[in-house]
Amino acid sequence: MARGHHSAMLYVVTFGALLVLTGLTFLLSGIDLGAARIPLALAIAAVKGFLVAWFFMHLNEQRGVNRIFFVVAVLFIVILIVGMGGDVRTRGADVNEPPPAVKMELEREQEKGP
Amino acid sequence: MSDRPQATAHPTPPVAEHFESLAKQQHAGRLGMWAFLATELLLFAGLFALYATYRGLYPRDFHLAALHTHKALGTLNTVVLITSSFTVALSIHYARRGDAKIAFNLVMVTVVLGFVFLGVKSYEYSHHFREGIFPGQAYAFPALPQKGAKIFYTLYFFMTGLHVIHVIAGLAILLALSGRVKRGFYGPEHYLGIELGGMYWHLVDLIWIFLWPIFYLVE
Repeated sequence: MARGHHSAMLYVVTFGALLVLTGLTFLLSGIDLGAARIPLALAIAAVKGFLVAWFFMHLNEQRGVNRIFFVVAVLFIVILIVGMGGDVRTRGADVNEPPPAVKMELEREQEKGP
Repeated sequence: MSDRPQATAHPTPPVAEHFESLAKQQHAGRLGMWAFLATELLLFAGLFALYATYRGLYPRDFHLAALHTHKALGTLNTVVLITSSFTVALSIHYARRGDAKIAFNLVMVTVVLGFVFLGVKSYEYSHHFREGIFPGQAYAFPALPQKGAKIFYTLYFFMTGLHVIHVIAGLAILLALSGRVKRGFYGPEHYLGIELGGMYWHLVDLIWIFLWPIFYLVE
């Protein structure tokens, strides 16, 4: 099935873009960008990942259902990582402290006494 | 017509009884591969989530620990894997056109690059071990804060180790398929085997693209 089969140039251009983005990531890692550093590096990595999946892995030639597998997996990964990472970052200073609801429960039990 | 496929250069593969057509059979093959690759992505996703979590808890320790990974070698390996991903994509391109010789040579280049990656990685590991960065009880790096650095290197060894296992599996798959590529088994109508094998190799590259910034570039 040669549907949508294209010239080798497409792979060469994709490869070139991947190398340029790798170089860019490397250069940016040497600059002090503060808090933007890791999100920026990961954003470039996401673009590179998309290029690999779309052109090298032939998602551009696939029917919709195969794309859905990929998109759904990526979506779940983003939910997992943003949810877990965001949770611990926004809990406040002492993450080992029990959540308020659990704390109230513990205090109530202490008040009751043994 | 005989039942056996003819021994031409690019035989049309027989369609299994339960498929209406070759196109449907190949679509099913690709769909299965994508489902498998999605589970692979989710396997690594759990580990990336752990990294994000512990990085949030120990930002300073992670920062100091990452100073001890080899930025230059990690970048070299990134370029090696991206190049190998390119050569395997080209190999499938030529296999589809029926250029068996070029396709075979490109598979071999990919395999060599895979071994280069493993060589660089084992050099890095041996260097870590000499520095006292070794998993388990042996974690002994006086210069680093203990708890966060231990977590960083546990994740480092686990994630890069799991990735190395995938590299080895990918190499085994490519070597297993190389004979068929050489014989001109694949052609314009029939290249599913090498395409799926190549997809696995691309996945190995895809995962490394994300491992590289989180372990080598965050110092």
